[in-house]
Order: sequence, then C-alpha cells, then structure tokens
Amino acid sequence: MTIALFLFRRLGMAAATVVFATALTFVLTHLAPGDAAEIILSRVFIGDPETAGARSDLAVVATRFGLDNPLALQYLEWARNAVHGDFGVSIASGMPVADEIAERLGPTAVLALASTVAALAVTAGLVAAVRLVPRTRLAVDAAAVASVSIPNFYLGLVLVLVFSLGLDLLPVSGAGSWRHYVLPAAVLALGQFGYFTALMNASLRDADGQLYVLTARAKGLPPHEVFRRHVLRNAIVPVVPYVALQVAFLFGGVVVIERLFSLPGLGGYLVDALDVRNAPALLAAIAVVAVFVSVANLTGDLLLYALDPRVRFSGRG
Amino acid sequence: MTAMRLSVPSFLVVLGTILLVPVAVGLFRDPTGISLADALIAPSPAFPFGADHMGRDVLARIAYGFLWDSGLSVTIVAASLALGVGLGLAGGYLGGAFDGALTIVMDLLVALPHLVLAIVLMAYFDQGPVALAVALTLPGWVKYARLARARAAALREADFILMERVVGAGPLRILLRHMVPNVLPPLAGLAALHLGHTVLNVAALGFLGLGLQPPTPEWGGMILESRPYLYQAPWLAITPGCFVFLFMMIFTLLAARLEARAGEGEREDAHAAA
Repeated sequence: MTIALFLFRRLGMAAATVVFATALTFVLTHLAPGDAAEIILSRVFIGDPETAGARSDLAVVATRFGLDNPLALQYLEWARNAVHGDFGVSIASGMPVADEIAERLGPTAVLALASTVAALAVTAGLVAAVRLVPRTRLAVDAAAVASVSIPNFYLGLVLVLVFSLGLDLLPVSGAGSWRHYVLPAAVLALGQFGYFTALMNASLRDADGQLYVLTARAKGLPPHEVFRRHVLRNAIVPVVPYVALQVAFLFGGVVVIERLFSLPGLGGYLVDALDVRNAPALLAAIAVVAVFVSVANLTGDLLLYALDPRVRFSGRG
Repeated sequence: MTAMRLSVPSFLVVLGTILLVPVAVGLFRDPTGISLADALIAPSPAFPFGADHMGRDVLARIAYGFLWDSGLSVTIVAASLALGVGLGLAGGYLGGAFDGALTIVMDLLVALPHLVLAIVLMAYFDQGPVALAVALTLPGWVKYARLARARAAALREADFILMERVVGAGPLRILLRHMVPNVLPPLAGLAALHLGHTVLNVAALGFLGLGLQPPTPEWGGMILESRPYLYQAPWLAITPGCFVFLFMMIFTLLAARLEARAGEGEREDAHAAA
C-alpha cells in the first residue's frame, strides 16, 4: 500500500470520527429538556423570562440563533462556521467560544506533553532495569500493577495531602507557574507508565524468543547489537500505536485532573460547559478533543507505517 | 497485560479478604443515619473508619458503596458482554452489509475517550443508575464485539461448522451451540479487566458529580464530598480511594491470571494439533 492511499484512508476515518463526535453531542444538546431560546434568555435576565416580561423576545432569540431551523440544517450551519474557526458565542460569558478555547489549550497541552514524556521516561528506566539489574522484575511488575490500578483522582488527592498540605512544597490548585503543573502531570504520568511498562516488557520477551534472534546470536553478533537491531526493532512495533492510543485517551484523565487541581484547561472548560448547559462551548470542546484524538491516532499509524514494513505490503493498514 | 507474574492466587485471596471483611461488617451498620454530634470523628472503636461531615458511619458507607459500585459495574460488564458477543458473532458469521456497518460503528466508538463520552451522556441524561449503566455500556461492548467477530470469522470455515451446515443446522443453532462456547473463554480475561475499569469509571463519574447522586453511598461520590475536609479529616478521602484501588488491583491481577491461562490453553491446543 502506498503512503498516499494509507494517509487518505486514515484521514477519512479521522474526519468521520470528528463528525460523529460533534453530531452526537449536537443531537444530545438539542434533545435536552428545556427550550434553548428560554435557556439563553434566562441567562440574560437571570431568571424566568415569563416574569421578566420577555416572552415575546423568545421568538426573536430563536430566529437570531437559528433555533427554529431543522436540526440537520442547524448542525450543517454549525459545522460550516466551525470549519471557518467560528464556534459561536458562549451562553455563559457572551464571549466568542473560539477565543475562550484558545486560552484553554495551553495548560492542557503542557499537561499532556509533560505527563507523556515523564511516563515514557519512567517506562524506559524500568524496562532497562528489568533487563540489566537482576531480580528487579517482581518489583517492576508490582509497580506496573499499582500504576494501572490506582484511580487518578485518588492519587491526586493523596499527592496534594503529602506535598501541598503536609510538606507545603507545591501549590494545591490553579495555574500561573511551572510549580502548578508538577502534581497534575505527575498524577497522569504515574497512571500511564504501568500500561507502557507491562506491554513493553511482554513485547520484549516475545521478541527474545524468536528464531531470528537465536540466529543472530548464533552467528556471533554482539549482545547489544542483537538487542538493538533484532529484539528492540521488533518489540517496539506493537507498543507504538498503543502509546498513541493512550495519549489520545489521556483526555479522559485530563478532565478529572483539571477539575481536581482547578487547572484552567480544556477539560475543565468541558465540565464547566456541561454544568451550565452551555451548548456552543461544549460542542467546541468536543470538536477539539475529537481532532486531538484523531491526530494522535494518525501519528501512531504513521509511525507504525515507518517502523513496520509489513504494514506497507499488506492490504489492510 | 500478560506480563504480570505477581498474579499468584494466594495473593488474590489475601487482597479479596482485605476488601470483603470490612464490607461484610459494614453491611450490618447504618449508611445514611445522620448525627451531627459525630461529624468528622476520627477512626475509633465506635467508628472503625471514622464518620463523615454529617456524622455518617464511613464503614457502613464503604460497604453499601461496594454494593452500588460493584453491582452496577457487574451489570455494565454483563450487558456489554452480551451486546458485544451478540453483535460480533452476527457480524463475523453473517458478513455482508451488517458486518460493514458494525465495523464502522465500532471504529467510531473506539476513537473517542470513553470517560468523555460517558461524561457528556451523563450530563444530559437523568442522573440515575440506569443512565449510568447505559452511558458506560455504550462504549463498553466494542472490545468484546471485536474479539467475537474475529473469532467467528475464523471459525466460519472450520470443519466442524461446515459439518453442521451439511447436516442442515440453521445459523441460529450454529451461533448458539458452537460459536458462543468457542468465543466466551478467551473473553474472560477481558471481562475481568473491564470490571475493574468500570468500577474506576463509575467512581470517576461520581467524583465529578455526574454519577450516582447523594445520599447514595458511592465510593467516588464519597471522595467528592470529603474534599472540603481533606486537611481536617483525610481518612474520609483515603478510605474509599483505597477500596477503589484494591478492587481495581484484584481484577487487574485476575485478568492477567486468566489471560495467562488462556495463553497456556492455546499452546496446548497447538501441541495437540501438531
């Protein structure tokens, strides 16, 4: 399969994912009880539009926001504007959603990047330890089980208790300096490394047992060359798309952790939007998450394409 | 998660006992009785796990929380398993347009973070246990369906299935009598891990305030309620968190054990065939 066809198929799937996620959210927000025009008016008047004498304004609001069009048409209208970077106006603040999202992207990006790099570093260290230091396997396996088992919100609270309230080393919540990111990134990294370590160790063990590794050793290749050229090259292949998928799914954890540490990122924005039924903000947040997930998966697929020649020659990517 | 050699049965028994003994004791106590005089009492003989901000017994709430969290999670796993195996087998065995549509739906559902999907659904549903079960089953069935589908597609051409067809068995008989028993055993490890993750997700939704609503005793909700008292009464957050952790650890180890077993079984099959 050529790279062009491979890319084309993957991009098609990515686009379908984004459409699916936003359309589903769009339908949900419109099925929700309560007339959208009334919700918008009640935010403006801070109360019941009936008593505020604004009943006649309902129709005006409905027309202004296109709320009396068929649902499919409203979605297409939203999608067309979204593609042009216009996500409408936040019902909660009256500000353009696109601007608010842009502000929120920074903290989430820092958090995701820092935690993934840290998790991969810990994984590399532990995998090396298992292979180089005798009798470390049990300890590493135990650490991996603990990592995948501990709920992130619980780990976050315990770290706050120890490092913020107990030792007074790091801030409890908020953003502003790098110190605010240490605990949230640590929580996410500590929850991630167990999956990576367990998979990498299993994959390395599988590769160790292959006949081509025996052949390489038998023909007298030095051990580090056998490892680098034959074991590692093959063992890394199943791990790469898995890491990409985990990074994509990191967002579930990000939502919880941003809430826990009051970090003003995209996850917190999404939950805030849900709390007040802020449909434009919610849709934009979901669209950004879906794009982020698609890009992460696409990156994983491309890395796999580069690493594994079998993908290039098989019909299925 | 095939690599975990810690998965010793005796270790599982120890962890299970640590989990179940407090639960068994707590079920005889009152989880909802409010007594403000006892608010934020530290663990003591009268309240082994302390009392929360309304003076409710934490041990009892842990025990009834176990019933809610694990009961709901078992329901979600069972529903996901039934839906996934049913759809996966039908897709793999029947093929055609149905299989094509199923594949697309599965690809779309696995492309979204499950917790995010559940959070959005819960915010717009009525926040009861039924809604929670639906919100977590909706993305939950896909993994089972993928495995069942692959296995059914492989089995379709197996000799014993062809023989059945020759003697005139209909698709329903083949699916129920031959496909289902062949597909279920390798799904056991997956289901164990799914159960652990589901308890984790139910608790995470509870912690976000989108899961089971107070005063229902639920582990994630208990942690949420304890947050304002984290400094004065840290045990209020630590105890339910430990139980979620313990539950997840037990099922992670169990899943590793079951998968290792399934792997051994397959190797034996291969030897027998050779």
